[in-house]
Amino acid sequence: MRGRGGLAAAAAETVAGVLLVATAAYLAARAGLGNPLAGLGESGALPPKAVESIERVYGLREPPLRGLLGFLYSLLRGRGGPSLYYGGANALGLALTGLWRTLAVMLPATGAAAVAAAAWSIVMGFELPGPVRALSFMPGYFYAVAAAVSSWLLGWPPPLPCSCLSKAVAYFLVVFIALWPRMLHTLSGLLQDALGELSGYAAAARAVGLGERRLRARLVRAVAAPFAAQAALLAGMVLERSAVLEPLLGYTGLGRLLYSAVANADPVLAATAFTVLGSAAYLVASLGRLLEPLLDPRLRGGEAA
Amino acid sequence: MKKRLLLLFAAIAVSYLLSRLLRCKAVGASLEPPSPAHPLGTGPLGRDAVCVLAASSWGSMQALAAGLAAGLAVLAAASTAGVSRAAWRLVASASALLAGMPRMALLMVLALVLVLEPWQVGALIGALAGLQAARAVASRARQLAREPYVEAAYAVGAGRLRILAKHLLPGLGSLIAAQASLAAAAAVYAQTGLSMLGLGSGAPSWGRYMALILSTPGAAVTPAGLIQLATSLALVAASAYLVYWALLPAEEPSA
Repeated sequence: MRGRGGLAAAAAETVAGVLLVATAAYLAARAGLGNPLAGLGESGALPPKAVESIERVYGLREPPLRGLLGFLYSLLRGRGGPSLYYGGANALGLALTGLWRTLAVMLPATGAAAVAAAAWSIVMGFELPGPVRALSFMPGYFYAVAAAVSSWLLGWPPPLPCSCLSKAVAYFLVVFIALWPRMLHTLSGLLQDALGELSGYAAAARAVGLGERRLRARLVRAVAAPFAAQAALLAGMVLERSAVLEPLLGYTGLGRLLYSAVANADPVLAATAFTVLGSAAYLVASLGRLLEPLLDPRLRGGEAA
Repeated sequence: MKKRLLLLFAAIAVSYLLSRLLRCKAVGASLEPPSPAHPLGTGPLGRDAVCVLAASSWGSMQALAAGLAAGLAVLAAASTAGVSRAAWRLVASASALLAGMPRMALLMVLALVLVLEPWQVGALIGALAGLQAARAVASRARQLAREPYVEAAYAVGAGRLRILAKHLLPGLGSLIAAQASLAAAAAVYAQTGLSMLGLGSGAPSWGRYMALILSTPGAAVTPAGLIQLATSLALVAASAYLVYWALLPAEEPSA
């Protein structure tokens, strides 16, 4: 990402990504096989007002493109339509609350994993041990299954779904343990590249008596900006994996909301939760790319490195 | 590398045969602990866990194979960026737009309206993971296209297809293989995650078996349940590693 043109391109990519996610959500809810919205209100379970509201938000009586535009406009105005499963509550409000709960755990866990990776690199060196390399490819739900078993076997975290502190701590640990080796893998790659580029600097620093750890700390600082960008990409990835981690852990964030919407056939909530989750994942991932030129003086002002 | 590839294909074929040949019936009480007759104990439905895991392997291997095929196809298509500027633009925009798509969440929303078979999950995830790496492959292809030997081939009248097949793809082979193995791993992990949550077609797979253990009250805290859960997770990880190992370029030191 270089200069203002690069920033504009990143912003355009993000907007396009968000639109793509919203379109996919809308089409899945409206035009998928079986069309789950087709028989709205026929069972009598939904009051006519709710049916009318859903039809208005999803533009079900309009052509698809117009309906999509109406759906996006409704989301921008803060209306996600009434959730069928949660007794007609505003789906967008539910999704935003879930997003807040997820981010409250995910962002600190990502930051802690990044700091731990940097500390490991400074203390232990830049070579990546084999087991850590293998662990960096393990999906987070392996650890979530272990946490679920622990909650039944040991009673911690509590088995019932909630967004309480002990669940949040368990979720934090799962994300941290899953993300830390991947962060280290990423940082190690960046440091190996930097070591090649800055070999003259490293030789001079050693010649004037700078200790290895202090030298490694300076090299870590030199790659801080690209590492922050990569960490943001990984944070976006963790955010989207919340759809699997949270149902297994029983943490009531956005991922579990999406899962319960799908499991209970609530297309309104599923479409809204997916749009919010996808948009947040795109935004978090783009944040790093947008911040990199601002953080790194070598890339500032469009001066290509 | 050829022997390793043969082993990979053999593993996929064996898993298919096992799914066809094995008929796992109840042999005892539910969740009996491991014994010489049943090394992993019995499952929640009283069936021998080894039999069930062997018979379920085809669902996971389908996802793996489909993910590998889709990843290879996308990455091979991305390599055409070396001979076509339009292909480069297409790969760059598709990669920028779709690489960030939240895959697991997308699968969940699709599960709302479609009955996704394991191979469909694998193909979708493999294609999306391939797109994530497509830009790197396309950039490398463009670099290779500027090498003197490729320009010389153009000068003597070689066509784009010939240049792609003879000069670019061999140079991109190891990169494509490495990224395709990651796409296959992502596919089998995603399929397992989705079926573990009870979504998807319900076809037998390791993830589906884990879902059965996790959703049976008390099953995950019995010795048999714990061993079977751990074995299922280990099998999923081993299958992902198998692809990586099979496609590992010969010149790299084995892990």
